[in-house]
Amino acid sequence: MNQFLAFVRLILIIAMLVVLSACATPARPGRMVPESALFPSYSPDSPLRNAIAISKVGGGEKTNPLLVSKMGDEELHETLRLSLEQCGFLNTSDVAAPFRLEVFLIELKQPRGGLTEIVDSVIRYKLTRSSDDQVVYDDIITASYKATVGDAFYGPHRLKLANEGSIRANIATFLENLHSLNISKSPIQ
Amino acid sequence: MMPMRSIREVFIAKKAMGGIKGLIGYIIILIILGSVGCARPTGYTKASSFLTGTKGYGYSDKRINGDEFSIVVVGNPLTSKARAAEIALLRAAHLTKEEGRTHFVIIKQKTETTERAVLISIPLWLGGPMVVVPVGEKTSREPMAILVIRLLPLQPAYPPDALNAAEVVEQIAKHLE
Repeated sequence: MNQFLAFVRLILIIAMLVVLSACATPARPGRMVPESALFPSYSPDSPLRNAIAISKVGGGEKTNPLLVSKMGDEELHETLRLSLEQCGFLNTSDVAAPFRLEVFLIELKQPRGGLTEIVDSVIRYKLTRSSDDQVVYDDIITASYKATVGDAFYGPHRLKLANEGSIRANIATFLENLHSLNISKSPIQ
Repeated sequence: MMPMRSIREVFIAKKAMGGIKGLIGYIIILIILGSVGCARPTGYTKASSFLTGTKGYGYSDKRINGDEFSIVVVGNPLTSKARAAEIALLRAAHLTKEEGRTHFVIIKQKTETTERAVLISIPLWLGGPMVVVPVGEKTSREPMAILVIRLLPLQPAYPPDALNAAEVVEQIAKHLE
């Protein structure tokens, strides 16, 4: 009986140390920007070149350090800013930008533990032409990412990697779609 | 040298051991009953994230802006994509009524099959406390239905693509129960 109690005590101490030493932290924007090499080069005459301003980002959830890593609006906004800038789409002026981008994180489907963490992100992207308020792109993109024990041994860190990977894949698909989008800068007469 | 245990002590120890074995038996039966009891498709229920921080099966919704809402339904592996889509539609109808409206339009809809890694573990009892040992992992498929809706303001006539929330509830609620 004493051995059993000592075992339980040891398990509790280890659990407390794990909780105290590694609180959940939010996803890192720098790790969620897709690699620019993945995208095809686009025409300098593209109407989207330096033309998109991020007008609204929503749907995110702040990370509670005692629970699991989440994706906040600020992290998502910063990731989008870096991604658009890297691809040459970003316009920093909210008023003068020819296109406005609204992004909403509909869902971040996370697993409840396990060795392999699979995270699915569901994001709605809505691109509106400022001159005539016409929506030129409105789509829901889903993307998945699998993080294994090989990526990170510690579970909460593995989940964070899966979150970041899923958002990165989602934004990469959006950027690909932007590259293939055929639109004109001025309203169609 | 270990002191010899009296017959009484040995009897008590054997009795306690028998009790533990019986308890393990009950736990195993409970686990089996629990798994059999859960073997049904996801119903119309809110996805709860109580304590764990990650959502379970069921519906969840968020206000995008003004009258626009997103609804997501994640079903267990026994749930079909069609059933997940129906739960999402039913939630859209209930949400419309909760907001004091009667009609809504679907702006975007999507159904997906997602994957989840499930740990396979076996309970081992090696004389001391029972230890659950992971022996592998399997992938299960779960349906996910996504809806983006806009609630329409109360008006005498509605556009043809508008859905009447009361009619949707009447049509879908019956066969989801």
